[in-house]
Amino acid sequence: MLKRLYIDNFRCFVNFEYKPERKQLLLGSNGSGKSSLLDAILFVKWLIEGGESRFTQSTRTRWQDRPLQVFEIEALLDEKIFEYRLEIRYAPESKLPSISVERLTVSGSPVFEFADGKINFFPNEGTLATVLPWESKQSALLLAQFSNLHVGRFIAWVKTLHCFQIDPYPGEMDETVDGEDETPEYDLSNLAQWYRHLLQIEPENNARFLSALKDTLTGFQSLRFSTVDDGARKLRAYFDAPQKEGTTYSIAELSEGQRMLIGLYMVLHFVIAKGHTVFLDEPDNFVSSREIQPWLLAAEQAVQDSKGQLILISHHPEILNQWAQEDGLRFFREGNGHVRTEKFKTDPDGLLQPSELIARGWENE
Amino acid sequence: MSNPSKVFVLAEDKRQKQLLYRFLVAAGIGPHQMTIEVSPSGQGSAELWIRKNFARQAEKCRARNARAATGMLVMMDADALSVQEHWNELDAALAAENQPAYNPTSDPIARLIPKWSVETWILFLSSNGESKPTISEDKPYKELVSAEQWSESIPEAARTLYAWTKTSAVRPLHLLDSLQRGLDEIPRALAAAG
Repeated sequence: MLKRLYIDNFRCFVNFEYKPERKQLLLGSNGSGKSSLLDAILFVKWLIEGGESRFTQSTRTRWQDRPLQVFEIEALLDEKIFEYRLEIRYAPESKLPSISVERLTVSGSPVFEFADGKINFFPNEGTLATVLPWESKQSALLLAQFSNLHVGRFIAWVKTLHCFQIDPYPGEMDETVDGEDETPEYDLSNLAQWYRHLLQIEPENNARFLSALKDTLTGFQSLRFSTVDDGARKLRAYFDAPQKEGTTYSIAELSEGQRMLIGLYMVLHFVIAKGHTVFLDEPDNFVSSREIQPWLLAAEQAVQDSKGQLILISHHPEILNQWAQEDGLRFFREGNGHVRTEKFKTDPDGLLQPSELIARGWENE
Repeated sequence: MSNPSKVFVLAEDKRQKQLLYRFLVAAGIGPHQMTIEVSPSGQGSAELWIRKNFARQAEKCRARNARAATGMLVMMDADALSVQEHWNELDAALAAENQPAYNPTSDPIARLIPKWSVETWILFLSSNGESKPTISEDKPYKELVSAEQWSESIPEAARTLYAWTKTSAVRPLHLLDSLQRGLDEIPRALAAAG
């Protein structure tokens, strides 16, 4: 479970600390930093997983000119506190970034450290500590995953830390299949290839997923991979049709709302239900208000049953009314300054729903 | 769009919502077949909000029930008052809106008023009634355990609640009085929802 994030000198985050709950709604006006929080997590996650660094000088806080960006992730895994710290330093002239410090501790003891151009390994018992010079454009944590079990455990957890910004626009969700993906992209652009993988390894979850879609999409029958219609191997949805046995639509032929719902229920049944830590940005996009509460109720139950973690970002009245009262965290920036947070304050008179308070701008009174 | 909702729930807070959601799921009513509305204020004025909304929602439920399967559950903590006193207040709320008084034999609505609070029911139900001698309605249990522990007890409590609403149910000889009153009304609301 993610226990704490610390971000300094990244966009509008200055000395920012955030302690997520098991279930939480991040709310606040446009530009208050909610989606930037997800970007920060994604950038660090991709770096740890071996990807190219997304940190550039333009990601530093604009109204300051400090050369050091700092990110910390604290997670409770197997009843131990894992603390990861990443420091990125920008060169004075070129402004090019490089990793100056990368460190992982478990219950306060170091298990990995990169500093001063050298990696310090802290191997498991019985093997000798080693030091290796390292070029500092990429994370070195992956190199240590087999030398120390704790490092491997942390990296495995990072892979289950998701920040979804589902993009159902036409052409964004690739429906063609020429392989399998074990993990979903943050925008579900690889939905079809990810589903192909899931279909083979999680038949029970798939049955629950398809059942939920039948309750959600009128006339929906199933999802299948086939080459009908145009010869290309694509993920297709089968629906009832008037005066016919049924009809088939490729994923691209569905509406944005239908694609979004397929994505949301995939995230629910294949990610949230497995106890992962999930951030989900605006899950209500394109979704009819009739469909929001059923998904929310099922997601709440899944979080509780799986002991997972679900943090939503939303402006939708239904989500605000369901979650803001007890699980709402308001993001705000005074005078366009750095991001601050406070627990959402309900109507002191107990009369207005959270969405009504927010629509009137009375939520911080 | 999916099929219309057929059970409407009015609840005071998140814990009541969790219990009733899981109870309905156990009863075969899925997320798409229910709509839950929770008071915007979890403390004190939540009860006032429930009473204010009860008459309007009851009117809609009764009207729709005449043409389509529709049931309603309303839950509010009894706190220091008795169940009967809360029922009287709900009747007064109906009267204030010129609505017929609650009919305990035909209304598609279940009035659930746990004494002192829903935690008493959760405790009793999650122990399957076996701890009955030590769980009474004489004192509140809200602060007995952490929020996380209450959440963990809810699935079992919801399953028991559903099991005890069945006509063939074997219930403990000595039920909590507020729970017994609720169990008397729930089957009617579920039947109204088809």
